[in-house]
Amino acid sequence: MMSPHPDKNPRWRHYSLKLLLFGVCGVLLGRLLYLQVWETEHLKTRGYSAHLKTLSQALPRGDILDRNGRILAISTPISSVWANPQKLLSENEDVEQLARLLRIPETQLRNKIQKHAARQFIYLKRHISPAMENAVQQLGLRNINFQQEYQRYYPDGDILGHVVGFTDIDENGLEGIERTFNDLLRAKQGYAYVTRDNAGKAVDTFKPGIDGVKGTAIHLTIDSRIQYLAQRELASTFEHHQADSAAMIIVEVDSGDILAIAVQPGFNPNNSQERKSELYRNRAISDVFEPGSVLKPFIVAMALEAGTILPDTTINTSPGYWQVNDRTIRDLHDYGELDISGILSRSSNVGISKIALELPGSLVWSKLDACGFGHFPGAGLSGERSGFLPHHSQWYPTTQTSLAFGYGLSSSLFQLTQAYMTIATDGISRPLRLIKDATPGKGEQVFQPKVIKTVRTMLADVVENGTAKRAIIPGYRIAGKTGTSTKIHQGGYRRGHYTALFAGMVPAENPELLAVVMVDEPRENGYYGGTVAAPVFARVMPEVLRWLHVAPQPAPDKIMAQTGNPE
Amino acid sequence: MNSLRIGLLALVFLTMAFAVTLVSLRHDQRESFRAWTILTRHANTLEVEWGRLQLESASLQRPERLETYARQQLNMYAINENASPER
Repeated sequence: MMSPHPDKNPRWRHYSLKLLLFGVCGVLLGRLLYLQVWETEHLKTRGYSAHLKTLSQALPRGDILDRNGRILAISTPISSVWANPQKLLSENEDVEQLARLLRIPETQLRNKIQKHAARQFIYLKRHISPAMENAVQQLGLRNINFQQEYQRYYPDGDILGHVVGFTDIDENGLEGIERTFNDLLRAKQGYAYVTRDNAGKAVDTFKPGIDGVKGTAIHLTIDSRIQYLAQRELASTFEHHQADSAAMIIVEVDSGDILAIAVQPGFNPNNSQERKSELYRNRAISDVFEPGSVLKPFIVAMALEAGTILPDTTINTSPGYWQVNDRTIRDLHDYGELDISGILSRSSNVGISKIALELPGSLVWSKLDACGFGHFPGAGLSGERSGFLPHHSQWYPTTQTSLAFGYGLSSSLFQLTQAYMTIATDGISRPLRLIKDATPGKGEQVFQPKVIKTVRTMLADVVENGTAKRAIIPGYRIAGKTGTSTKIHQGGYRRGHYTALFAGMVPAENPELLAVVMVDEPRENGYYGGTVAAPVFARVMPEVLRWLHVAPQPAPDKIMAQTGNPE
Repeated sequence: MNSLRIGLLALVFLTMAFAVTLVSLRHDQRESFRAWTILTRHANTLEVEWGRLQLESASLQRPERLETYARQQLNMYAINENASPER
């Protein structure tokens, strides 16, 4: 049977079908637009995360080496175990066995995993031994991974701990050279961008990676053999005198290179239990003290240069004390009439005060300032301090006399060594150098060479006939000065609290080596610089001279006679 | 008409050839990557060994160890030994 309107129905169908097709196409197009335009980033990320991965490439921190290329700090590869807590929990891995192998209490490990359940990465244990790594690998857990890291080792342990310093577990420098030169020593991490297969294995790269750069090695001027010797003898003295602390710096005069910075009490950077500030503090640079009589040679040099005294000028120190305003300056004994050399060898406070008061305050201040007192040393070690030198405009007459025998200013052992470089180098204040590649500083002429040579002759007399006889080394002529400064204790100077000092150079005529020793608060077996600090010099330096091939000199009979009985 | 067919065939052939070359190159690239991964792993192993040897060498050269060895095994002593009252 035919429809009464044969064309009407198909046309309706035709339009409906077209509308449906357009509708479907529109929906598809809309969806396509939505996915391609609005959701692009999200979908890209999901796609990438399924198959692409960024692998970080760990590289070691730069080594720290001594002047002879011996390793003082090195990073060696070591593994850390990590896991994805989400997968670890969902796949019910054998945590009990894992905890046993990692030597962590099982409950502690489970708690750690639960606590970080929302994360995709947690370290289960860092820096594990190769044996432990093997054992965990044998366990064959799917969701346990290993990451290569580096661990810092210090082969010399407590011999150089104070200088080299240490890093944290992520190899960030926290103390010493490790801290000061952290940016140079740190490696720049590299990255590889890889495509993974279904098993998660890297099969290809999808874009060029970034190459990592190994940390730069740093060569110190330290000689580890000399450092060991200084540390050994200083430890012996530290214990023998029951001191609070002790430090010694040895310098090669020609270059200004620091050969050793020994500090007691010792500190081993490999042992994290010893990382306490009272142990790792480098007392040679961070502890300041009043230098006492070791400052006297500088006053003598100033006076000789200014022409207020001559080497043979005599000064009356009787009756062993001298009143300046409200202050009485005292000597140990009444030394009577002393020449300049005698003032230094007897360490007369009265004599040096009389010399100092003849000098203009501005001259004394400018020379001490030029020697480095009151200045930040900038040697490249963390914890350096500038000490204190008051400006001459703030001085009273008693300030100048106090400064003459080393009170009223403060200095670190490092600064004192720096200042003594002017006496060891014919009057040039040459900066000390701890980094071998650093350009040596030119230095500044502070005293005339002729004056300094005269002062050194006087300092040789201090060792031969004065307070520093225990610094004598057979076969060599030593120039040096002792110091025993009373410490400020509970608001005032107190007897029984001293800092013993000795600064010496060898050979006296043309010094090749300079060494300064400080023993803080010796309690047993004496406290004078001559009995506590000078013997350290006499025990350390002969071997240093031998190692550095400094030939003995034909000694005058007088010295040879004394060396038979240095006491 | 014939030339058009030949051209089309050539295009099809070239497309196929490029496709095969592309697959082959991708395969080579993955093989090279695999070899690179193995070599990198080997380099890492060598680096671990080198680090271990350096550390061992530094430990063996410790002045403290050398002194103990010299004193105990070789009966050596320092020339200024008697100058030290503390030891």
